Amino acid sequence: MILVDRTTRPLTLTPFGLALRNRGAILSEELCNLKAQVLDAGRGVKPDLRIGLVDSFAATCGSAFTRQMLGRVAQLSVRTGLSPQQGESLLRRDLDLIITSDPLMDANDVVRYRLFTERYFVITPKALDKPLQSLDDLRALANVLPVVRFNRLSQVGLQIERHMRGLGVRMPNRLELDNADALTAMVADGIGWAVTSPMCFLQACTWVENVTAHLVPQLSLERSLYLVARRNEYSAFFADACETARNVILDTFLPRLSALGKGVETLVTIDEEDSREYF
Amino acid sequence: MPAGKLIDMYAVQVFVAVTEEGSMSGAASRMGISQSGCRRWFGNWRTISA
Repeated sequence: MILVDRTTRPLTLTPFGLALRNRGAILSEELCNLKAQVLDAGRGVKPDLRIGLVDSFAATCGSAFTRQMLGRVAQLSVRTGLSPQQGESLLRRDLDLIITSDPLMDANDVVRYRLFTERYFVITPKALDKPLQSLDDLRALANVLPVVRFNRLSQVGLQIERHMRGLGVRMPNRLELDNADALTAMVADGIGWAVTSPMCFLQACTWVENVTAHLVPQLSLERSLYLVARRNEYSAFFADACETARNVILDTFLPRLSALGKGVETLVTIDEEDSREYF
Repeated sequence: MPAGKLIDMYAVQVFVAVTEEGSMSGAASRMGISQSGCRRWFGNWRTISA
């Protein structure tokens, strides 16, 4: 039985070849899952794990999370980066578990757990002694001071951009940065104002003394961080990781946020333990 | 693939990679092997015996 028609360029598959490819792809996928499924069946066996952490989580909670995870795995490899890259790596099997702001809603065969939700707020240079309470105040600010924005290739940057456009706040593109630390530093230095999240704010804790935080209720923009893994792989371990990450948020992240003394910890909400969401 | 021989799962993976990627270079990159190695594995799949 001929599998490949070599008289055409590019070569094409015969019906036999198509059957082999389609069934072979399923078998290959199963093979890739084999190790995780065997480890899962053994439960007590410690896996080698590759974890991806979104930058803001890595900078604020990464060390506490990693320290606790180390006791549960044989070998741990941690990679940090932007959420879209983490998601792609998980689906490509370059990573086994990710903490990300992108729940990969379009992907089948992944399981997600929401760690917490945080509302965005506005930061301005401390020298700019002017309270911001409404969207009109924000529009007025946008007319006199440039916005310092997150890179629009990042999940946060894209989300803020879309939302502000929806609210009718026009923000000319002058300066964009790819990390929260540099963004807050620019604001602290008086270059402009920015929209940021509590976790990104904590990431830049060196600079927070020189900025003013404005919790503008009408901004009504929020993001959640999720723990995401491939479904039915390392499932016992996934539950452990969720518990660990939740404890790190409660015991490390929130107290450190409160210690900043800016009131931004009130923007963070965590699901009750009995209503946690796996989907 | 000759009759009676067990099907090699690695060969299946190479076949899937070549047909999904559409090129030897893409498949070799996906499998982490050389193009000539990839061509050799794929060559085994010219026909399958009943």
